[in-house]
Amino acid sequence: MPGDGVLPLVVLPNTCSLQRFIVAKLNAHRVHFKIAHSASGVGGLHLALAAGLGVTCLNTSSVPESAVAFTGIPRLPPLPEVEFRLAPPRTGETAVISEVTDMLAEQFS
Amino acid sequence: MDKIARHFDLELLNTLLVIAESGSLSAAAPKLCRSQSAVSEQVRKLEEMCGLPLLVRGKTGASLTPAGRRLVDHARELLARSDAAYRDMQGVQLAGDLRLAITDYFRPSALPGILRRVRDQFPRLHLHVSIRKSALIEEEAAALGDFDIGLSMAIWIKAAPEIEPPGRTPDCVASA
Repeated sequence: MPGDGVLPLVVLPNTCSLQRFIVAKLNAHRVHFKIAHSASGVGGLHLALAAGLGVTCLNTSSVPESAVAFTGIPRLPPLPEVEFRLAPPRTGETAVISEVTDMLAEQFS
Repeated sequence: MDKIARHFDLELLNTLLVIAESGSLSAAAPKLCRSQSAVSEQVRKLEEMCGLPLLVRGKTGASLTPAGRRLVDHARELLARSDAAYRDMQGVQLAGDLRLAITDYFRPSALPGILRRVRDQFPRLHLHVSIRKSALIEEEAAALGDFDIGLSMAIWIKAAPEIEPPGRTPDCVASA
């Protein structure tokens, strides 16, 4: 955390709902931040974190092993949980679609 | 000669059937994509296993002995069963395309393992994976979009309920 008290953020483009949510949340809590790095996907976000470029907001299951939770100043607002959703089955769904859907659903537990 | 063999080799039975249908070893050989001597050797193996002559080789071709005729009937039945079993497996082991649209945030470290399992279980399947924004996935799922399975992430805005629904993971802030 740099001495100016401004939080360096690593983000995805604002077309990402989670990124818009983070920025709105930080603004609502009057946290001063700057966009230190912008990545095009979660893979790029991981690289920026590994390079120590800043702080970001991720769901637990996509936090890379090398990252650590940010506990410094400024204090950050609490975050809600996220939910993963499988698109509802469609009529005429084939056996293979059902099987792969089940394999993905197993990852939820 | 394998004296303990108790199972008929379907390849050999097929050879006998093709000989019976084409009337001679020389006519059967090209249909089996084998040389005439190889076909002759296959018949010899079958005769050794049965302990009986199956073919009488004459100047005009080969004719079946009574035992040979009986074996051809069995062969026809066994090969038909084998074909049916093969077709059944083709049905189980589905071929075609599977289009997966998935959010970037879904367990990036688990995804390669999932894709590998799909490949191992359905080797004839062509898998297309696109990483998309959750909002887009949900929109297109409702509109029957261009994917078969959609996996999206939604932010849980309401206060956490007492019972956790499956599939939810807490958010956290991470920094390097």
